[in-house]
Amino acid sequence: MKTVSRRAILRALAAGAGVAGLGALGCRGFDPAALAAPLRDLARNPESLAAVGKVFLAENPEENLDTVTEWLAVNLDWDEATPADELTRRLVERVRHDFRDSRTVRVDNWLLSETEARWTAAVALAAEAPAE
Amino acid sequence: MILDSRDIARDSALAADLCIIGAGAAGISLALELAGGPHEILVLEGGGPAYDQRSQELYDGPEAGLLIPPGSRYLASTRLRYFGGTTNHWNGFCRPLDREDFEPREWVARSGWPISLADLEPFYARACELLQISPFDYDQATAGAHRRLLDGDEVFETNFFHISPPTRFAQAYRRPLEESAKIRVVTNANVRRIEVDSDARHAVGLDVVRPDGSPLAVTARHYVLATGGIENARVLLNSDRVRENGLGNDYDLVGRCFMEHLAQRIGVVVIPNGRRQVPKTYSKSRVRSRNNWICGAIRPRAEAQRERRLLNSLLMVTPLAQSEVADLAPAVERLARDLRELAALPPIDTRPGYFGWLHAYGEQQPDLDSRVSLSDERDRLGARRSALDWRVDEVESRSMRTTARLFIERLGMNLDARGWLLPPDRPWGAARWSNHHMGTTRMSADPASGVVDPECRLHGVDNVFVAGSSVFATSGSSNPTLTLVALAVRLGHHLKGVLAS
Repeated sequence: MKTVSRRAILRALAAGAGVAGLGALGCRGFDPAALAAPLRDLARNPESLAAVGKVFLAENPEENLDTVTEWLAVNLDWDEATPADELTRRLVERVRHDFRDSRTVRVDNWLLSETEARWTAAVALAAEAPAE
Repeated sequence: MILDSRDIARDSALAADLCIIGAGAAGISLALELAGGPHEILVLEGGGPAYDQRSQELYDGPEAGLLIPPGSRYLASTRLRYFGGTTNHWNGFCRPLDREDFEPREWVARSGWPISLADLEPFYARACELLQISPFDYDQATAGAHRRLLDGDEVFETNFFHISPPTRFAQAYRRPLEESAKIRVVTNANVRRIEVDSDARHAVGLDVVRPDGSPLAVTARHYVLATGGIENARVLLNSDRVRENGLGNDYDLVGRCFMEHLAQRIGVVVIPNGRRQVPKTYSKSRVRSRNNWICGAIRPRAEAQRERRLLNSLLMVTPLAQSEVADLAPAVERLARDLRELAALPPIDTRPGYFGWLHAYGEQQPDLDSRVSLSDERDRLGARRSALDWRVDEVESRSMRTTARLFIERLGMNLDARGWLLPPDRPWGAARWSNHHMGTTRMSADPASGVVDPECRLHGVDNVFVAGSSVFATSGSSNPTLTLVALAVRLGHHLKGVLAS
């Protein structure tokens, strides 16, 4: 499946498309599974992460696999060429910076980084996705 | 010498150079400071030598406040009316006020003392002796062996409480008071009011009654009111024979700005690698450090308070059984654990991490409407009862929540922990008081903004002083006993000169 490149996403953001625009990009070919899989592989305890992710999704019904993976792709500067260890490094750094800059969300009143909350959501959604 | 008013002949009159009203931490500390001098010191204690329900009931009165449930009997249950006062049931937590507590802060209404921490520091050492704790570095050195959360953080720092045995003043100091040639302590001597001259600028005697209501004549050259943060205001307001609104109350400030330390179980933290450091350093169960018993508390640094317009506060973490935590907690712990492992931080063992309650203890902003006044009802000895209207403000809950949130975020930034926070729609959930009564005779340089001057003398009255936490202009976040004893020692130092003149 053809995927939208990181540059295309960033161009869309620069043009003011924002998250809604990203949703449209997703419709044109962004493959959420391409990012969801390595994100799931990073989890040492995927069931636990999925449990957190389900609560996040229940509290944020506008979020779905497209939105969370697209958000993560942009904010982790990810594309299909990104190696797993680089994705790991970016994820950890982004979580640190989220907390430092108060970019946090409440999940059942647990205070989580907005990145890790979406990571857990991606893991939850990937687990639910039907196998191809 | 310790006497009971009921053993004093009816026609006797007691006279002294200085009369201290109240034999709690402040009154006894002050008496001990003056014990070695040439002056006759009389200490009047309203209660008896031991707890007595009839005496305690004299503290009752109407009370109102968002955090006072009906039927609490806050006024009667948060202090003790007998020899030794509230030291008969305190917990012994000692920590000075912080430097910024004394300073004007433009984001805290009515903040700023007319003295600085440096003015009080020389007297804290003697206060430590009186509270039976050794000289101590509350910030760092003595507790150096203990690992701290957020060590080196630019927003938070760990300070330490030093734990007194706790000193029961009645037991610890009965003997020196009994043996002193210059001190007489009279129990069951209930001061209803201070009598003044026709201008209300000079005290001339006390209206004192025994438990049966019979009078006891008392005069002195100088008087110190040391009956606690509520009763000090009550006695001044009841001293209304010359001035209708009481003594030292030209600006209607006596009793106002009543403050407590807000105490709130504000959240939960889960710390994957916190098994050793947190219980050891922060547990309220107290840990040994050299010759001291200590416990750690986390507070926002002064710069962080200024930058974020926060009130001062302390955060503590106490153990929470894993069975008590909500369903999602173990999953959040594993999430935090995963991030640590991904970051290649030092490995942690496979046991579940540390789960702790996050407690916040917060300063209150002085509020003129938060006050002790007089009820129309009189107690059985004829004095009008206290009436308390304790106000808390949204600014205080917001400050505590912001501080707790910031703390969790800083822990998260270091990949140390995650935290659960009280939902925003329950700002005062599980909040209560700390049994600390402060601010009702606040210290100020200007008579228009306080009740006592920097030497703790009543503005406008030349021979009446006030001791105790009622003189606190702001409350800080530390428990008040160490500071009120230091202030009493300082007052003793000042009175030595006054009495000699």
